Amino acid sequence: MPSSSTTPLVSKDQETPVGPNVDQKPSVLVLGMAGSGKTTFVQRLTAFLHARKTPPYVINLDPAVSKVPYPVNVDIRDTVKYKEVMKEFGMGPNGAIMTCLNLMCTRFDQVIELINKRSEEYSVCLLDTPGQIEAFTWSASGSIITDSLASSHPTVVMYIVDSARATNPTTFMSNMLYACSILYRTKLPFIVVFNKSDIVKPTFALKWMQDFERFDEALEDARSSYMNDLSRSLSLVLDEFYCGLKTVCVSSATGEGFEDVMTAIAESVEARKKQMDEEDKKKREQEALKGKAVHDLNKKKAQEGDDEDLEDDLNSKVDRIHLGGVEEENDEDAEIERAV
Amino acid sequence: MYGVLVIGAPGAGKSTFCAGLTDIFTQTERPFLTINLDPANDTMAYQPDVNITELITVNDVMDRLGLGPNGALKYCIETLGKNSEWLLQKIEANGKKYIIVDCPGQLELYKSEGELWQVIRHLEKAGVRLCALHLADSLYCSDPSKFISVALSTLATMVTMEMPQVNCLSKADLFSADGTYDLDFFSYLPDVNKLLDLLNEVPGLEKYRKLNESICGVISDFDLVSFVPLAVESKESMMKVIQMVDAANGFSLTEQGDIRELILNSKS
Repeated sequence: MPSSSTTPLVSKDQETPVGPNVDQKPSVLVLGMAGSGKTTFVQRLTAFLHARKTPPYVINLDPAVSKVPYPVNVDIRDTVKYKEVMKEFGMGPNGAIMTCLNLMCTRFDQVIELINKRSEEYSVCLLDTPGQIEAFTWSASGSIITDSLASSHPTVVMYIVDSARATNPTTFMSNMLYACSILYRTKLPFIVVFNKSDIVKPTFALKWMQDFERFDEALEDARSSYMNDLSRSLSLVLDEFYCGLKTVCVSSATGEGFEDVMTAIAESVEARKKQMDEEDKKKREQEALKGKAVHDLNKKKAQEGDDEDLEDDLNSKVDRIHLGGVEEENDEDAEIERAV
Repeated sequence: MYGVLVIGAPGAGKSTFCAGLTDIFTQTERPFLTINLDPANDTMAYQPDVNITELITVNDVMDRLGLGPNGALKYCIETLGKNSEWLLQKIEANGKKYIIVDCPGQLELYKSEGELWQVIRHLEKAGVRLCALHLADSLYCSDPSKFISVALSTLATMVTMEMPQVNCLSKADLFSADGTYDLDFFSYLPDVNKLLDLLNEVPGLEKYRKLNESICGVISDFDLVSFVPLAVESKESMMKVIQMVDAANGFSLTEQGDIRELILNSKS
């Protein structure tokens, strides 16, 4: 399974990289815990976009949903029947959801083709995922689906949070850690959506994210003393996560906040495009430096696949000196800590 | 009363681990009580002594109340919450036995102050000393960013569970040696410098350098989050995990003679 599928693949006979089509309309993967309101969010967003005459292309990947409350273009339930899978394979509900996803995964290249073909007709492609988040984030088929999307065109992850249930600081922290975990898994631009703002205004969440001290206070009041140090360190970790994290507050029930959703998506896609352009530039610069003056030892990284033996030899010598030192040091450090 | 709560994502190998644990306890003659709290668990490799399906099953709820799988699961756990006395009674009736609890995999159920959380607190108040054993599939750690992902979700559960927790990477026997680093890396986590370097090179994570650093910092500062590789078929691996769990929940303080013999026996 390609783990670095978001890197433009450099084809051997071309100079320009072959990779995701950055000019295509973006896809949005809607993820979140069961009950956070993913389907309702997709429903409201679809309605919003239709009203603006910029309709989306909608895909439902939840095999166990009984009714899909929005006009759907591709529905996993057409490909696999959840109840029949349960009967035929004798599986419980979880196994059946995973199997449905697996079966869908084998056909997903066709879905990608459809998305690409229809790209001109819609403004954004929305993907509604299974209710249980682990079915998507902790499964091979979920990874394959995410990676295939990412390598084809710009993809953004929207993580839906139930604001009403996140008022407990421990739950909030746990939820944010999980969001961070998904970020590391997908390596895609990430947007956190605080849903159900009609029930509870998510301003408490924004305040916690902006002000570490306030969150720490709330945390101290709310929980037992067991994990004081770890919780504090984790809050600091999350503080880093929040820097530059896009958040939107919406209510899928009232429709409030959906303008911001589209802005956030557009900004994420732009930012990622810029980043990839910079990466491309860097790579091209490195490629161009191949075969240049051998004695220019200011090159930071060793060049791969060098033509000239001398350069090769010299570079490998440079590598050995550099890495040997650091690795030995690391080993020593590791030894010391093990002994303690 | 001492016990272990086996938690982790679906498919990580919780039920398989519980089955393996029952084998080892049978061999080492440690009396045990198995409890299955996963209402959606139909085919298990062992026979649980206490089963939530005695109370309620997901299929029943789905049929009778017309709920989907998530709603049904939540309903079942709520029912368990209302019947935590029943569970406690069953445990107390088997006082001297070591409790093995097979828990559901869905993350949504492990909310702070949620039903499952309250059941656990109820048991703890009654004097049951529990340790959480979190299983993560080691195949999901095939590269640095996935490993961090696993570490973060483990941290998320630790924060919620508020109890001693041992973290394992299951299916370690399937882990191939040609990953970016081998399995020993996990047991010697102090070497976070290498992990940090690898992370900073991953495309897609460039702007998260500071985040990478702080996460690696937490991992190296807190031994609480080190991972133990686990292969259910390997007696040595299982014994190591059992030792850690016993140390965490206090069982090893009561039965020290046994542990030494067990270690000696396991070396043969």
